[in-house]
Amino acid sequence: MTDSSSATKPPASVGELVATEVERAILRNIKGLTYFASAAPAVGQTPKDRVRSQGTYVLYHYRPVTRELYRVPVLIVMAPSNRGYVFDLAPGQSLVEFLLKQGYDVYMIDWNAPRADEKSIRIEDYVLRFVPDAIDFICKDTRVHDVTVLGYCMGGVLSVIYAALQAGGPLKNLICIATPVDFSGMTHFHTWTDRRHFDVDRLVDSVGNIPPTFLVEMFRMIRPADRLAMRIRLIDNLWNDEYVAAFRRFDGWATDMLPLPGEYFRESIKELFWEGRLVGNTLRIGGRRVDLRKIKIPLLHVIADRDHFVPYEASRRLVESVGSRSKLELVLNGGHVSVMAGVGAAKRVWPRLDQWLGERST
Amino acid sequence: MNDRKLQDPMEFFRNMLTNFQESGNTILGQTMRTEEFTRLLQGAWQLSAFSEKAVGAVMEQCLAQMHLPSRAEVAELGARLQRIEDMLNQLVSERFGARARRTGLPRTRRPPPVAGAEQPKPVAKKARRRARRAAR
Repeated sequence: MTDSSSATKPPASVGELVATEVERAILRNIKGLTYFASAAPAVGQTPKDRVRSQGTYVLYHYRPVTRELYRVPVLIVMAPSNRGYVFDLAPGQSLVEFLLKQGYDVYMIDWNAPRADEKSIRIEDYVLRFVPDAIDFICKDTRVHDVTVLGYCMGGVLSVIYAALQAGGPLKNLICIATPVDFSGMTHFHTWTDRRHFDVDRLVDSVGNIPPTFLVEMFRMIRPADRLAMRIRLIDNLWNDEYVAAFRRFDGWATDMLPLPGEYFRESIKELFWEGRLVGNTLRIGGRRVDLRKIKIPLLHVIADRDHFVPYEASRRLVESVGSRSKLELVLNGGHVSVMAGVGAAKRVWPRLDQWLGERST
Repeated sequence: MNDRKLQDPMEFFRNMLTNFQESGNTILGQTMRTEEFTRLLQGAWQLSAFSEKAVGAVMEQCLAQMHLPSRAEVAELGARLQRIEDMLNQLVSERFGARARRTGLPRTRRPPPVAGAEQPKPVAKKARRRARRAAR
């Protein structure tokens, strides 16, 4: 891929400005054809091994790149509705690659699309079956008895529930990224799933697993003008290879959502959105109460200041709810995704994450 | 800077697009949070779910008439194959994977010293060797 260097320079005079725009217009036409003819840029390229797999649950181990590792391995828990490659978009824009280069031993729980017969998977299955299985495996594989868990969005919710249920267990640190705990703060979702209008039972009973199109549309409706504006911006920037590649990676990921197991969706709506049981410490999983105050391990919560999906109101109560002595809330510049993925995150967020985690991983 | 913006129609257009995006999101966002919209949305979702189910049932009947497997049957077949593949992966991973991946790297890394802070003691060679042996 090539870029016209003169097309990227800021124009100085009207003449240069016109020349630049003409050049960009030509490039837009040429590269516009390439855009439609070429495949989307490759994602998730960091070498890894699939070490566990059971239906929707997959555990990957990324191959270390340093000659010396931190003692404590890191387990990334992805949200069940999304693909984990958002953390490994491209070289230089990959959190996984960054962590590997800093010397962490990195594992990731990613999800396959649940099969029709997996519609009965519930929160309990995630936090009492899949996450513990991954942690058991990691402990055996690394011969280390504790693990750092890094959960993103609903993956963070699952990690928090797991940490509360396994207090005194094999967790060394907990990192949550854009993790909601007070679901009434997610005003759009909360309104749309209002129990007076939203018949979640009927929906789940009729479709089984919640189709990804339903979820994609729901996310799009939060920022209804974004889609059109982003398309126009893409056309405007078709001359810029870097912009186009980044757009395709992010846009491809955002629409590449997974179906959600029906029972998990039903339980999330009723227990988390309607009853607010997580922040109220009244959620019961596998017959046990999830009490966030039982979380005593070091906690870092990274929140994006422009997160429209999980606004600050939904996530701010996590840090104050846990019983950890060492806890830190970082509110950083970014959106729900850009706070952890992409060029901006690499500059603003990852070094701070590494600084916090490094001293707690020995 | 402002002069350049005034001169550059493309820059003006880009600013306008950003304003349109922000105000569009605000106005439409407010509308979408009303009770009327929520009720309308529920109707659309239920209709979509119902029609999807009904179309699925009709398609299944048509395919059965033509002696072809339905989507659910193909998905079930795929799921069975996936389960077999998962079991094979698990077996291979347990048998060979761990040995291949266990690199024997020492887990002795420490964070780089912060400027001005007391320097941590360097990890002794013995400890590194011990960690390497343990990893094997």
